[in-house]
Amino acid sequence: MSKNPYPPAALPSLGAGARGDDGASEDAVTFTWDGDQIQARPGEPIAVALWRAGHVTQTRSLKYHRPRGPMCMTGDCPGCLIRVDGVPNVRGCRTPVVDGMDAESQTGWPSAETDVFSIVDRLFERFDHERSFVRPQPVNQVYEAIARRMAGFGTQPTGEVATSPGRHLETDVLVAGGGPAGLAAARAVHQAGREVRLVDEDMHGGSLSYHHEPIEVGDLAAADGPSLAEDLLDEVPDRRRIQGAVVGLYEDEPAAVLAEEPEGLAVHTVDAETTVLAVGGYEGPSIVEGNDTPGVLGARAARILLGRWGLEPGDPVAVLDPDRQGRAFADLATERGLTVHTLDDPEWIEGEERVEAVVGDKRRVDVEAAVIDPGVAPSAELGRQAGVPYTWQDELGGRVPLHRADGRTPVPDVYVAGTCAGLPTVEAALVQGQAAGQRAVGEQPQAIARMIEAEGGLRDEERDAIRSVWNE
Amino acid sequence: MLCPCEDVLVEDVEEAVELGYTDLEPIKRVTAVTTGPCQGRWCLRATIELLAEHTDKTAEELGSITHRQPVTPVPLDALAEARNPADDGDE
Ligand code: FES
Repeated sequence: MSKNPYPPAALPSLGAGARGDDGASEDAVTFTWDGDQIQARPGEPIAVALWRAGHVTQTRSLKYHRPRGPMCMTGDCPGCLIRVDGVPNVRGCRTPVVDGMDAESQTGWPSAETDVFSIVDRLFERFDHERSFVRPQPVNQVYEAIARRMAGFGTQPTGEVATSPGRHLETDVLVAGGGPAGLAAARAVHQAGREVRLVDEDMHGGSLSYHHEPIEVGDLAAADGPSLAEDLLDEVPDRRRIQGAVVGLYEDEPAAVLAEEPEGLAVHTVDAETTVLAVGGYEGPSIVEGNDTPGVLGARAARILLGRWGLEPGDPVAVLDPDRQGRAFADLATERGLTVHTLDDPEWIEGEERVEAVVGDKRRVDVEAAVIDPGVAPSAELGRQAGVPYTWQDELGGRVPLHRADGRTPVPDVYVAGTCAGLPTVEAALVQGQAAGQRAVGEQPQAIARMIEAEGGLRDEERDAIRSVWNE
Repeated sequence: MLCPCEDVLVEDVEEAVELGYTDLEPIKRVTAVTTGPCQGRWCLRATIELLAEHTDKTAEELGSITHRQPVTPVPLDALAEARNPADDGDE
């Protein structure tokens, strides 16, 4: 039995990628991928190490057996699900490489990269796996038997996930999410002399961890995101941090937190007087032909690869119909010397096992990766569990919680801040996070109006986004 | 490709709309969109936008799907070792 490959032990605060250091001088660690030896940099996620070694296809899709590669880098897509030391469904983008680790593809036969079942994709242009081969009966029996094999999700674990006893905790404020909004909120609570519990899977500042530009807003300033994340984390004592995720909120019941304790995963219950949700959001597909080819990834994911892990997704690289994240990636990639082709009107993406070209704007360009930029949709799971009503706001990226500029919601003990409230940037998230943290301990967030108004602090679009979407 | 977990194509949703399914929950059941390992994180907003385009409903009217606890997978062993908050012995 191998030792606890899942959950991810803390990913290191590399910051190296964010500062343009390629980190190559560090001692390599070695792991196996479908039996091959792969070199990785210490602490980088498995998905990054595989991509670096040229293995962009890391899994296959369920039905058509199409090759799939990492698309989100935040644990929110099916592109990096693999089997590690006998434990299936491990998210490679969230799990650091450990020396000697045995990683395998779990879909496709004999492997994800050479999958004989990909014939399905070639034979059937569209295939309805639930309703095919239902009759005659003997055919159905054979089909049912091979369908499970083909799907590839049916192999029992042979490794074990270490677990440990849960605890019941009480605190003044539970902050879910440790990006800029959550960190600013946790700091505000701590500065007010109240007890905070900050829960985050990664503990490196969320979107700050790959932000490569200087930040200055209110009393917060730093040369780049990783430095600001360090400063803010320093203000939240170690014992107040929980490495993990809030997995359930209930009205009138303690929150459930899945925590990565040194002895293994634990489910803690947390009774908090108030809860600040700063849980961020998700990228998604841009609807363009070929959008699931390995090497297509979200703009935020591309920023994480290059900005945090120092990995070039491809060179040349295409940026398709960019918005804020896409432009930020294009800037960073150009700064790092990559050839970037921006297409405003992409028509399709070419390539079978890896992106080969993109077509649009009346041209066809050969590239190794294609960056899509659908924007980040607010994460709504926990807010809705807590009973917060949601409403659709195009300009805020989709469904957002009803809330005030300072994070109050119609549920008196639940506050929201940052991307999960539709905010576009780290600066805006810092301002709203701080206000929500102050509100959560019953203080008047004096600073928010000042910070919003302050010259040079926020851009117009940020001021517009920090607003009330709730009229009592 | 709309939903890379379950291999649901844009055409699959359009076809379901033609068959008369215009709400999110029935579309989810007919096409399996949002029901894979990502549980809608990757595809939910795009699905809502697609339906808003192809039906006479707005994104607001389409609402959302139910998000049940837990929002990430929890090993049963860890659950078994969780404390009942009704017990005493707080930290
Ligand atoms: S879940 Fe790992 S890349 Fe999307």
